[in-house]
Amino acid sequence: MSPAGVRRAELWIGGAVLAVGTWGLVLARHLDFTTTRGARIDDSVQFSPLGALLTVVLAALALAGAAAGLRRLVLVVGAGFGVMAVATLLVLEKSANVFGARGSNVSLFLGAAVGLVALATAPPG
Amino acid sequence: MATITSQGAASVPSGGTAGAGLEDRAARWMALALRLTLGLLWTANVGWKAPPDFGQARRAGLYAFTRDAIDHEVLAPYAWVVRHVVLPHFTVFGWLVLVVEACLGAFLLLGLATRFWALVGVAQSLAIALSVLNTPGEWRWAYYMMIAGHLGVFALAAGRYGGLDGVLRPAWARSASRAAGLLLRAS
Repeated sequence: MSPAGVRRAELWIGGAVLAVGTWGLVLARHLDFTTTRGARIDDSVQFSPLGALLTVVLAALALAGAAAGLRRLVLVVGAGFGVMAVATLLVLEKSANVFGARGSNVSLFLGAAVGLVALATAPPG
Repeated sequence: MATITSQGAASVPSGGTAGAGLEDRAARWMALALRLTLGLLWTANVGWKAPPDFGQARRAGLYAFTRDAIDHEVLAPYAWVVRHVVLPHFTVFGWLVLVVEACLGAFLLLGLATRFWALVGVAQSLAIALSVLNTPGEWRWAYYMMIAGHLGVFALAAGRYGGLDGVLRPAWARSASRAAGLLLRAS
């Protein structure tokens, strides 16, 4: 495993989630900030403006951490996505679903969390 | 002809031509595309598993599809399990489906422990097929293709192409830890 390979993988994950979050932010721009029924991307994830904004911010931090080689920052962002995954799971279909999310978002946040944590904690080559 | 080595890298036998090299690239990209397609499939379809009752009150959604195993029986033992084990504990079953399918989407998209999750995908696709194959309006080949697709991901060890398995396997191979050994086998 090369550090460059890990860094590239972190950049891919951060970039992909940033793209999805930005897309969600654009689609949800006219909705209430914390609506429980977010704007849906192609029958998959859906976001309120708050959910999309948090996703974008965390993904941007992951990208910054990966670009600067700050593994601790990548780890913290991964943990942040983990919290979002669990929080989304717990509030699905409830009035507290301020991310405007559905089950698909759990996949997205869980993937970002597991991926970033696995890469940030991988032993150096 | 392209072959897959024990390291998961596509290669050609000695004497392979430049044309065969192109075939190798195509094989890697197709393995990646198949894995991502199945990851997106689960990510999209976990979206309509809606807690807390998963459609039980309206007899819709996951409840209706699960109930099809009884109403349009495919395999008698499976229908018995659904009637006597699944439906009496339907909320627990619903949460289990939600979590498993969310994990399938996440791990197949990442390409992490891919072979393990491909087998979970085979099992989940089989369970769905045994519920709905005889339901009017269902296209049974969709479920056969889901099973075949996951078997393909397993056979190709598709996480080693553009996935985290490919990035992390060298570190797992060097490690003496039990977790690393398990991940190595799961990838």
